[in-house]
Amino acid sequence: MAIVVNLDVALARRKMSSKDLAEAVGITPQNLSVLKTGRAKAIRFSTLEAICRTLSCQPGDILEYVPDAGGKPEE
Amino acid sequence: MEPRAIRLSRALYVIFLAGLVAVPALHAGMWLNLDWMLAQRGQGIVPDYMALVDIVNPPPAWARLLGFCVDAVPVAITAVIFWNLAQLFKGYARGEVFTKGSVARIRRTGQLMLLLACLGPFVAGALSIALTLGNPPGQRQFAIGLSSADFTQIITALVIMVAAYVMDQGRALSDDAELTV
Repeated sequence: MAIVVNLDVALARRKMSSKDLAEAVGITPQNLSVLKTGRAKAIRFSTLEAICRTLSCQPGDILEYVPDAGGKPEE
Repeated sequence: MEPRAIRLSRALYVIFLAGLVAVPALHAGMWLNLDWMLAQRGQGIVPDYMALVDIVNPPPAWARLLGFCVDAVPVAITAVIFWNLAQLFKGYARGEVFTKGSVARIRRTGQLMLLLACLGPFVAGALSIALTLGNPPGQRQFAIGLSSADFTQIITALVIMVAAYVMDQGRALSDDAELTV
């Protein structure tokens, strides 16, 4: 996956649990787990905005682009 | 899924399971009581190919067995279609609508219906040979033909295959929606 979700790092910095974040953002813990484990195919701007607001961070603190080893974009 | 849709899916599951048992049983009964079936000709309950059979010299046992074997091919395909549909509605009753399995079952049903429709005229031809082989020389027949029902079945099968393609697109969208946070 070329986009890496660094939510664990952001949560550790804020000393916040996943459950609390899910509650604050208004998504289910299962959906937050999908996001944290990199299985998510898309993230809504509203979800990203709520996460950034709750964690007092920028989207770039959570999402990171890491080129794949082969350099080919994924479908 | 809505409770009504679940109830309907369960009912269709039972209907298709019953059809899965009934169709082979009815055909077996038909071949076991061929003389009675031949006596019912002209009443609309007997397949067209039976009109060719010489009622004075009914087909011998080996011809009946041959006819049964030929008839078993479309019956087996029909049974597989019914099994597919039963499994499809069993899945629907469980709420499995936009899944790879349900899409594959719809596609397979369409493909089998197309196969059945294409085989239909040849099976009817083979049955006409099997059932008239026991006739005296000069009265043996080979009949093959296409009816509007065959075309309707081909079109229905193609529509089902297109519907399966559309369902697959729906499944992809459903997968995307499920993994959108």
